[in-house]
Amino acid sequence: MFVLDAQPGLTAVLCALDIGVRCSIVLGVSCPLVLASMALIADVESEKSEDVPRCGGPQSSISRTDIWSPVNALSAGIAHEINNPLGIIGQEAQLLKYLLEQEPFASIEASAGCLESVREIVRQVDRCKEIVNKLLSLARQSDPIIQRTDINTIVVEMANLAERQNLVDKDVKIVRSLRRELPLVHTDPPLVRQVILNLINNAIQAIEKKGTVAISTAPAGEWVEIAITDDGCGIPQENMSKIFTPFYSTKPHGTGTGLGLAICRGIVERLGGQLTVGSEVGKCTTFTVRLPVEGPARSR
Amino acid sequence: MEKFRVLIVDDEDDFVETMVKRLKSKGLEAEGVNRGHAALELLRHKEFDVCVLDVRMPGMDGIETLREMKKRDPSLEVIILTGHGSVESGIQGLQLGAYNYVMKPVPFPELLEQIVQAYERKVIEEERRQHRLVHDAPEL
Repeated sequence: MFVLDAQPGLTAVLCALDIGVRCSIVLGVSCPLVLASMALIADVESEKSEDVPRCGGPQSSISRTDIWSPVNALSAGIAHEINNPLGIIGQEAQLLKYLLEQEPFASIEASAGCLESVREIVRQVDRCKEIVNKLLSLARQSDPIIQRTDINTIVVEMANLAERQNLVDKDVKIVRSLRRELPLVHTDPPLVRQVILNLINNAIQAIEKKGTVAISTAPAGEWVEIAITDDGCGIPQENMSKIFTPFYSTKPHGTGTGLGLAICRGIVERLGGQLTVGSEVGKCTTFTVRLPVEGPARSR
Repeated sequence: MEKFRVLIVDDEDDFVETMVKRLKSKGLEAEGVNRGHAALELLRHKEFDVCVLDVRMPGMDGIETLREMKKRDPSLEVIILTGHGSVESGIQGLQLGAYNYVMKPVPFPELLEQIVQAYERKVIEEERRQHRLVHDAPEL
């Protein structure tokens, strides 16, 4: 790193840029590796499920935990490696932003353009952080922590949260149909919350303008079922096998990471359950989570 | 109730004060601060079992604070409080390892129940870690 000016402000700016460049190299090398490892999963065929869905049409349920472990370990390792440089880029960009807002830079006309660039860096770093987070969440191998859990309470909490959010451009009604006689389930409450909230969020996003998201719970022998149905756009049959694949997304570019459903499936399987989907294009989609009342086999 | 340590982080001083008072009256150790940075500073030299963290605060927001807390001490259980429903930040918080994402206003008994459950989780995890230490230790 060469220093053009002895002025401390400028030196700091140049140092920050230097760190940024080095970190981008790390990112440039690591990201394709993560993507390549994830592409392995894309080749997996889906298996048909015997479950009865709330929404008719084609169904999909993939259950191939075995291929996940090495890929997960690799992506977790890479995500960790990316996290640190990402943190540094973020901090240095914040510092740059602060310096550019102070004198002497504030009064230089060209600073405005630099400031806008730095702001964009901050935004994009935040986006990368989010993706890394999701990757780590996808790969997290720690065993679930089992507590006796009231699934109805979790569903109500998450539905209330979704209901209270301000939907600017759409009118979505959330309907709950919860069976009172549901047994307490031995499962990991925060993980179940994450799955339910993700599925409710997807259901809302599937509705274009006006629609209903119906959430129901029911006991099913040694299982408890949670079904989330939307009357939105539906999933075409050719996409059914892909929806649980990491980085597969139909949301507009830059808005979804394509990791939500992959994370949900990973969690449900770790809890000893199944996540299935049934859909009719233009009519409805139901995601069904089945959790074993007695918890995952390993924890018993 | 078993005595454990709760940290309240919220920019509403009245809320912090009331919560600390009520938790203490239940026999718990409780302390409160009104900024994310202050919480992280406090955690440097003091251990807590459960943290109740407001998502919207001036300066460092709840999500950023949570990220930092979990990085430093993954065993700290965190309950996030939110005044407005935000599904995105809810997902983000849970993904970062929050125990729950609770809508404000929340009745005290309900929040207390959440805090107790979060503590139970911490105890289970600690027992598991101890168990692993004993069983995985190399034989001498």
